[in-house]
Amino acid sequence: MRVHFLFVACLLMFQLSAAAQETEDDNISIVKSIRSFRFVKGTVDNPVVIKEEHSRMFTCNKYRTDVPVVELFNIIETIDEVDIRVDGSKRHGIVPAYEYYNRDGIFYSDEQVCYFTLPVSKIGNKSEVTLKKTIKDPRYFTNIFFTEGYAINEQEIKLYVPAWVSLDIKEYHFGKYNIRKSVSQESGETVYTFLMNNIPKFKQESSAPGLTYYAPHILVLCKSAQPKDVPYTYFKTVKEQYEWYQSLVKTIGDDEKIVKEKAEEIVKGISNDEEKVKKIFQWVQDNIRYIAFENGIAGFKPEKAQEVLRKKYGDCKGMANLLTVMLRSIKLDARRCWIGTKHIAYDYSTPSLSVDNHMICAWMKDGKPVYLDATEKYIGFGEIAERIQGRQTLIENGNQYLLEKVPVASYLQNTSTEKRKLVIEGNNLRGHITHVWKGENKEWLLNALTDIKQDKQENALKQFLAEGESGFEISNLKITNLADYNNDLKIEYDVLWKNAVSVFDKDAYLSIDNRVNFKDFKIDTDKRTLPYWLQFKNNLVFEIELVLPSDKVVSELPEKINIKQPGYSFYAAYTNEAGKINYRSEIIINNAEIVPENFSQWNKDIKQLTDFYDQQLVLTSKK
Amino acid sequence: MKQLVFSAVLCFAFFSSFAQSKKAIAYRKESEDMRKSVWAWENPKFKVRDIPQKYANASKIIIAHHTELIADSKSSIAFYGLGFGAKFKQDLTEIVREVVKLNDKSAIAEYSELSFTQFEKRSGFYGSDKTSTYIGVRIIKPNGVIKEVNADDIVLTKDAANEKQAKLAIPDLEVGDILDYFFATARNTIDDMSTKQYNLILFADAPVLSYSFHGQLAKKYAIEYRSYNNAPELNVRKNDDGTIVIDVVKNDIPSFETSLWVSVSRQLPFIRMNIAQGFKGIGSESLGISKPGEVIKVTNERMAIEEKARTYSLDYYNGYLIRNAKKEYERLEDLAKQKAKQKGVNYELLSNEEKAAMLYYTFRFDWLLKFSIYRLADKINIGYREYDEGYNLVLFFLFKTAGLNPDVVVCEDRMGYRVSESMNGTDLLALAYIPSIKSFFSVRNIFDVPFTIPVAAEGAQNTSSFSFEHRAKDKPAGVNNLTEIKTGPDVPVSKSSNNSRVEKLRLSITSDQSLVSVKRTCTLKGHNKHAVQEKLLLYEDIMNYEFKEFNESTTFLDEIADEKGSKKYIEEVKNAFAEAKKKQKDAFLKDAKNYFEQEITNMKDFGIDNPGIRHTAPDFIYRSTFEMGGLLKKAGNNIIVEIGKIQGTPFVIKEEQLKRDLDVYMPFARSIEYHVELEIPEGYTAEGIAALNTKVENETGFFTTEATQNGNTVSIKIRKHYLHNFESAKNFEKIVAFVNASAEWANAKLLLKKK
Repeated sequence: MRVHFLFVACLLMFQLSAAAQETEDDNISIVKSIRSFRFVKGTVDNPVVIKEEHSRMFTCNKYRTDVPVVELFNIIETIDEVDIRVDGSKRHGIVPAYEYYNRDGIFYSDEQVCYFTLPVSKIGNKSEVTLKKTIKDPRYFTNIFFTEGYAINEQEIKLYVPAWVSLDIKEYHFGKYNIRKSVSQESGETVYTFLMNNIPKFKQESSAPGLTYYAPHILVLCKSAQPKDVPYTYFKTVKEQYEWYQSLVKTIGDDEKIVKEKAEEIVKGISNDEEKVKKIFQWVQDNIRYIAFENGIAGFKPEKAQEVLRKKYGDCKGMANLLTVMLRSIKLDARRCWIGTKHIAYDYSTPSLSVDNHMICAWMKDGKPVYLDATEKYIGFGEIAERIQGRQTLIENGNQYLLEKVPVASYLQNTSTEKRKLVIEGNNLRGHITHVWKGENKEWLLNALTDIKQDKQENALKQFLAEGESGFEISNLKITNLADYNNDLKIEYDVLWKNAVSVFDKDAYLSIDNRVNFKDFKIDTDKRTLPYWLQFKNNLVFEIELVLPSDKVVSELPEKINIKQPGYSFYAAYTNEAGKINYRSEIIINNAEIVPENFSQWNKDIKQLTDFYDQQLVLTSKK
Repeated sequence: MKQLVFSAVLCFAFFSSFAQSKKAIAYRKESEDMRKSVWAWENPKFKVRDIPQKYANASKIIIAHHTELIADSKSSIAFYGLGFGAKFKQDLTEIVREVVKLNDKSAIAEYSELSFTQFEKRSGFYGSDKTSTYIGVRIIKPNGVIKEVNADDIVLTKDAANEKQAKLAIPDLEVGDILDYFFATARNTIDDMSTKQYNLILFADAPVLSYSFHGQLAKKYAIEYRSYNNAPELNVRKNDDGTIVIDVVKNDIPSFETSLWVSVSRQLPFIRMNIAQGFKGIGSESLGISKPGEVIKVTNERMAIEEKARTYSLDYYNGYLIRNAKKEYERLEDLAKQKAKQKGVNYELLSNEEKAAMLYYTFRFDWLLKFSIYRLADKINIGYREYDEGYNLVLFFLFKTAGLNPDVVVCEDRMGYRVSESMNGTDLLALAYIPSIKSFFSVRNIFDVPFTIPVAAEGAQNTSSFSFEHRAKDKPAGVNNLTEIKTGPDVPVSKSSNNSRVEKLRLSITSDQSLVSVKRTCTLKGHNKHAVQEKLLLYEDIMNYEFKEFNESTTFLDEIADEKGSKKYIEEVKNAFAEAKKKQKDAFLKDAKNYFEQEITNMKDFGIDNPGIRHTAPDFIYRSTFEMGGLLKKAGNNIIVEIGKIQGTPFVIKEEQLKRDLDVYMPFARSIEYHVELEIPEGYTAEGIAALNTKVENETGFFTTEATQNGNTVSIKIRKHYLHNFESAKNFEKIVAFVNASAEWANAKLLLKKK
């Protein structure tokens, strides 16, 4: 499903400016930004349009430089005029370039980019860019972000709303920015003005929440308009948004008959409904490649189910729609679901195209939805990816709709359990290992493996299991459920771990945990300001039984650690039984978000975990 | 995504109204005709369905790869802007068809999308090209059913008037399918006599059951070719009408998989062709142009050298001989004299060696380093700038002006074509050389110093030299022949000690016994320097150093501040330099992190001890102090020092790389040494020192460690030397022996035992 355009435009601007910042830090700033949006009467095809004018005056604070300027547009949001002035002059020779914009993971979209380099000729001089744009449909006029890739000294944002337009404006994250809002009447129009000063530059951080969680912005909720005689209703409530989506669904043109033949072939011989759903879900996961087209309405309207089936490719909408139609064709109650992934802060209480960016399918089992997201290629039936957990979803329900929340899975969904039985042979360890992966841990590993050519997979897997250690020699590798995602992935092997034991005089020293999960996983508190999002909730269990040689006894074992915090816990302990040592560690991440207030505690706990890993077992000869 | 991008082809200058314009319709028709024609090819190789057992586990198998090249030429006179000169219209068609079995998801992902330049138009004063590409795609299911993809279902990802780039998503593609596809590129060009290089590549990352090429070129073409590294020869014949017919066939080519220490040009099979319209007439011989209809297997090893001589003769004429060209070099020499005077020496009394160095540094200072406010960002990032070979010719001109009687030495690139197998002048390298002092000069970046030899030229024999002693001749073609081609000198090879990294590391254990305090001095020599210099050395530092070396009366910044035209922007310059300086700390931190692959904290006292940009002090030396994690393990009251990890993750030759038939082309002989001094904390003794000693040594290189204790210091000298830049395949196991010994030593540990 299409990621909303303004959203992408902002991200692109931030990415490009971030690149510039690598060498320029705070050199560039926007002295003044004036941005206005005005609703005007349009044509028969586009009865209500929004005219945007955005003027930015750039300067450099330290030394002369070039500013990369980029602006995205598409068939809904067009660029009408670009005015460039360098030191107040239009005689600069700058010609904006226009190209299609290739976004990772999207095969084709109508997004294009207008870009050029704007010189700022010396400290204190100013170069100005004014862009005029038209947004042809109020549905696509959603959020306006107040930050940019450069600090803004002074900014004015105005919305001119005529009486024939009805809208709401929601404000987000104004708190620390001293943004002054005023509403006035001018020539029969309501004018919303937002004034602000000293808006810091947007700072991009990895593994962080999406922009809508923290950037100051407004969400414009266009409800209706009556430019002339005919009234137009947009998204007054979620009901109208659902109706618009339904209107698109009705025009898909699915042919259930064609799809049914395939569905019946897949479930042939199966009578249990749940088994049928599992089979069809995995068939779509395995056979439909993710290829996304996002041109015009194709960003919102799914491709015909029979076409996705024929082409064996589609985007999230195409896959969700195919799954829905396949399940319905064999008399199972399946629904299309619109959903915003975790990346988006909004829910359907603010009906808008910015709320969702994804589509999945729900199978209604005894009246309750079981969510099926076929874009998650290796996740099992009933398992749910972190990115949609807890998210509100808009579920088809005839003329009505259902608003449900996708369940939040426990960390246990993603458990990885490794069990080793080892014996000491001189300086080496020898033994047998079994490793079982579930949920998103399983999906992560399978994704990585299938990216590798099959004749190279075994070597790659061995290197992964050995943590890159050349002395960790693996043999008799056995993989179970490589192609059955509804069961746990299990890998077993024998190991000869050379030189794992260091002998000094009568004592032997060794570390038997070479996974050292989360070792040194500190967060840089000097640089990071945003929450850290781990990929998913996690549960890493590691158990080792080490049989001691008959002539050795344990002289030193590391003290156990047992850290319990609201979002995570770290446990690791050795115990000494007769003739053997047992080791167990368990890392539990039950909240994938680490918020800045907890960074310091997290770092302390990681230090404790790292210190534990940095201790050795010491064995000594029996006297 | 599979990408096949062709240089050019047929026209349709209609794309602005692509949908249903006449030309769009015509294109679709042409496209359909092309598909009909290609699918009708009767070649049994395309129909093979049985994959040999030995390739059963391959990710993909190329069942057949065939290229059809058709070049039809009819001579005509075209109007040239100035009303003279003949041009030749050309119609070229190239069709590449491949049938590939896809055995896994990785292969499906690779072929899931096809990307190509659908239309390209280039035009200019001397010619114009129009190029169009047609594609056809069929999927052959395991049950034999053939499904044709609607190849006109393309999307345009670039839609400019002169270039259209397109993508096609391949539907219904599944593991086990066979993909049968082609790209047909048609080019309509009005061209000059330029030579087009055309290569047939006979190696791939997948097994190829059948590879074939068929070319039909009109009799007006001339072809020169070479087959490399056991590639088959061209099978050439002529039709009755004089059309040149070329065939190449090779079956059962196993996949090529090792990229470690390989020279493609010297080790993997391919055929190079130079295709041009032949010319028979005045000057054709001196210009090295073949006659129409000629197909020549190049055996003349002088061909490329002669071309180089012609090119450089022209450069010499335009850049040095013609009126006023020499003045710039005279100015540079005068500047060098002035710089020498500043240093208190008389330029005229300098030896040739000293003069050459002074000229070199003056040229670098004045041409490459010279400050310009208008190129501030370029100057700050100047370390990343690479200069082309033309600058070596500039050095030659400068030395010639100064009466040092230099030559241009032309030699092979040791990773490129052998001189005896070269075809084009660009296959060969050129360096400036002064015979009287037997010294080579080149400049590829601002860190280069005189008297050093580029990696690529090392060890070259059978070199040639040009001295350009001829005067310009009266005939126009005379400027192509201004030098004799003489036998040149052999180019020396550097030793492992010339290209060294020596890490002097003084280690102590922090009071909480969790980290190692490191005092680091890193000395880089020879070819090891540049990659680090460009990250750590600042433009400002370089300029300050050069100002001192030239004994300038002022500092670099003061000079800018004092100059009439530049003092107004001095604050900007200071700010820009201050910012670069601020970032230098991050660069040092990153350098340590990347090199030692451990957590590095508390970076301080960092700096450059010697920039290594003068031949008189050529080593690049930098220092820093920091704390390093990952080396210590506690064991009760004792401490294990995982000293082997000081190497980071040493290079390992992987299991799948162990079997090797190819000779070993390494970049250069090189060495890495760690001179570690570990301070034993008070109250501890060190154990296991003797076990740290290792020695694996053979004719290809060595890895040795020597550990001793002196008082409260454990000294460990770790040395890994790759002795040569080339080894024969039979010596590969010997390389493995010392390389993997170094990897194993990464496990080396030392016990600090509580007394």
